[in-house]
Amino acid sequence: MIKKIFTSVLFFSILSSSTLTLWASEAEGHGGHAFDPVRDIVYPWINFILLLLLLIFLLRRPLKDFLASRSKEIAEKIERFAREKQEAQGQLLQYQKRLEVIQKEMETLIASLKEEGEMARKKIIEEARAASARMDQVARLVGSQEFTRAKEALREETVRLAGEWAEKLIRERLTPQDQARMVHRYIQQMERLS
Amino acid sequence: MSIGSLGRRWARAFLLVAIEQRKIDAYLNELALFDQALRCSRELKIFMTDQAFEAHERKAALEKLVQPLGLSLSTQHFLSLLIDRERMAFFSDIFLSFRDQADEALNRVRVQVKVQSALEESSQVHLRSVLEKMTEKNVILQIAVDPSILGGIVIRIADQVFDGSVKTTLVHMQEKMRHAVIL
Repeated sequence: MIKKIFTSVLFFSILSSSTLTLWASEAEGHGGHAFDPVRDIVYPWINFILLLLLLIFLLRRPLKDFLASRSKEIAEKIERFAREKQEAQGQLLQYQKRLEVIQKEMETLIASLKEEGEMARKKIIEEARAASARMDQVARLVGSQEFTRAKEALREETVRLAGEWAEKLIRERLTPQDQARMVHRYIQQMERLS
Repeated sequence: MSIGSLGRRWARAFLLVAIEQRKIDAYLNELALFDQALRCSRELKIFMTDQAFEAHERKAALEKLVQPLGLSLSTQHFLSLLIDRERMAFFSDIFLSFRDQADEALNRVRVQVKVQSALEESSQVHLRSVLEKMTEKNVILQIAVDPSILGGIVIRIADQVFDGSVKTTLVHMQEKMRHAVIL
């Protein structure tokens, strides 16, 4: 639009200037070539001033609108960029905070893992010591049990042999008189009890 | 009804007859003889207890035993009744129950005595007198010789046992040895 107006104005001025120049030339043709200050200086200046005024008159509003629009657009862009910058800064801050949190969490996690690792190490060592102690205890107990079993077996064997020997001796040496005496004694005991 | 209860009821019924006739021991001896006959002859026991044989056949066989065993009429009738009611299979229980109830009725007790060798008569008399004093009942000694007791005497009165055998003494000694402390 502006371009079209500008083109029209230019065309009109050129046409005007040409007309004046042509009129001056025709006047020269009729009267010969001689310097005329009005024709050679004033008319071009008038032509130029008219053209300038016309241009100012015609282009003032569109130019103003264009500049206002452009100014508004630039202001909006500045505002938008400022807002975006602010948002970006906000996000940056947020990311920084998050990063800090993550770093803290990582530090906590690493510390926790180290602690757990240390605890696990201690626990393993304690368990190993306990297992060792248990094994030692079991070994002692087994040894003790073996000894006890051997002692029991020996005692049982002694008792059995003593019993067999006593039984054999009694069978060989017990006389009917002994038997009668034992029976009599037992009956007497019962008598005393009754 | 349990066999024990059944035996007691039949024994009680026959005991009442025996008490009435004052022939408790006589009937007890007759039943003991019949019980012994059943124990000695497996065929007789099967014939008397197996329901495959007719009751009249079994009673006929019983009649043939009356003479040799010297069974009285009452005992014969009692045994016939057992055949009729198919209770002959429980005769042993009935007999033992009759014996126990008869002993109770006559205030006597049977004492099982186990010795290593035969018991002298004087010892038997002494033992009986002691036991009668203890139980306050007439005592019937049932003496059995058992060499496995090694020596001494074992006396059983119902559920009570007096063990004076050498074998048991040895066992006790062995137990003491087992529990003795070995240094």
